[in-house]
Amino acid sequence: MKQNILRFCISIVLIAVSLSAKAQETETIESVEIVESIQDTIPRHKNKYGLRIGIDISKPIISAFDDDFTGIELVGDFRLTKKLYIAMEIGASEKSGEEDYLSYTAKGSFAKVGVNYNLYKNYGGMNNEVFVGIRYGFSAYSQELNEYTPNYYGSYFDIPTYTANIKVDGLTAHWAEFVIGLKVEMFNNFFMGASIAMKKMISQEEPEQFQNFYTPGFERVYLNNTGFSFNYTLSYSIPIYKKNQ
Amino acid sequence: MRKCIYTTLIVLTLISSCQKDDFCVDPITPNLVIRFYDNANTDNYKKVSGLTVWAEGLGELYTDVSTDSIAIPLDPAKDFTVYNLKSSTGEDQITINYLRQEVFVSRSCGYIYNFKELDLTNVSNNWILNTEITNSTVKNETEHIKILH
Repeated sequence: MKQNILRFCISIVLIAVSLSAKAQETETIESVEIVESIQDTIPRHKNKYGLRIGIDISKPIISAFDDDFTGIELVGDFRLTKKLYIAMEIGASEKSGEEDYLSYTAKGSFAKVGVNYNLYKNYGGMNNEVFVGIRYGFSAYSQELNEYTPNYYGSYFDIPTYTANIKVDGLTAHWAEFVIGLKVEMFNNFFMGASIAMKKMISQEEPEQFQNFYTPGFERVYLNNTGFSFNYTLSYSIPIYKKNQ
Repeated sequence: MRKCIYTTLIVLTLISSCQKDDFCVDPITPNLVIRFYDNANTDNYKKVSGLTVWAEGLGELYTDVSTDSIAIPLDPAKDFTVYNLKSSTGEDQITINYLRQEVFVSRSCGYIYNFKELDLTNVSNNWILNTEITNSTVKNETEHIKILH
């Protein structure tokens, strides 16, 4: 038993020495990390592959402070190759909004699936990402017109505000997203991230009497059927295996 | 790397706080246009002198003007509007009847009204000699009603 432990320690030291010698050629910081890695016997130079799951923390925070929004979004990704990740987001939201001449409520759930490509070159045991990605997004939702005021020049007559409460259920939308973001490993397997998504609606069902004001997942529908959104994520990576590549 | 993420967070927060993207630039609810013609020669415009216009129970829209054309709003809460037209030669009252039709324009403009089946009733004839509906649908601000005097 003692002999086994000794043999194990010697081999670890030999590996570490050979690695640190190699690392010293490029950067001294790396050798420090590798010395640390001897202590917890994890060879840091291997890439971790795993399923990372997390939550968009901005949505519960906005829900708490904004009476007009309730929402949740779960995020996940799985590392396919050294730089490529399959990524997915699912969620649900309810948003009420007020425009100059009308108010609305949109409610529904959404899913987005796509890939992220990591552009960041990691050294040693780092697992950070600066990524670009694409997504296909889908949402099933309802759109409700709450109130409206006919749009008149001036205020010669009192303009009545009508309660409409016209709710149209069973609408769907499909869109494409381009995503840029980053993820930083704050602690072991624990990540913090932020991303911005630019969106373009591919097809959407709209109410006959009005339009889509907000689509869950797509968020506000701007002119030319474009949109953008942010997310701020906290996630945990469940390590599954490690590879040199 | 951490500096980078904090900078990004701050920038993203700043961008996301700017929300308003579109303002209403489309045409909204049109006014009714009345043009005044010469009763002796019905193809010619004829100015009304000392014209004062007000809806029953409300303030003056035009006060002592000399014009051959007025654009007046229709009451959005009713299917008719009573207008008083006072000229230097007398005072008349007309009742304009219509059907309101809601038309959705856009997020920023909301709904507007178009008016259909325009009709005139209870026209008094102190200085107004005759009337004619030239366009019974109020969709834009071109002539809808002729008043001969």
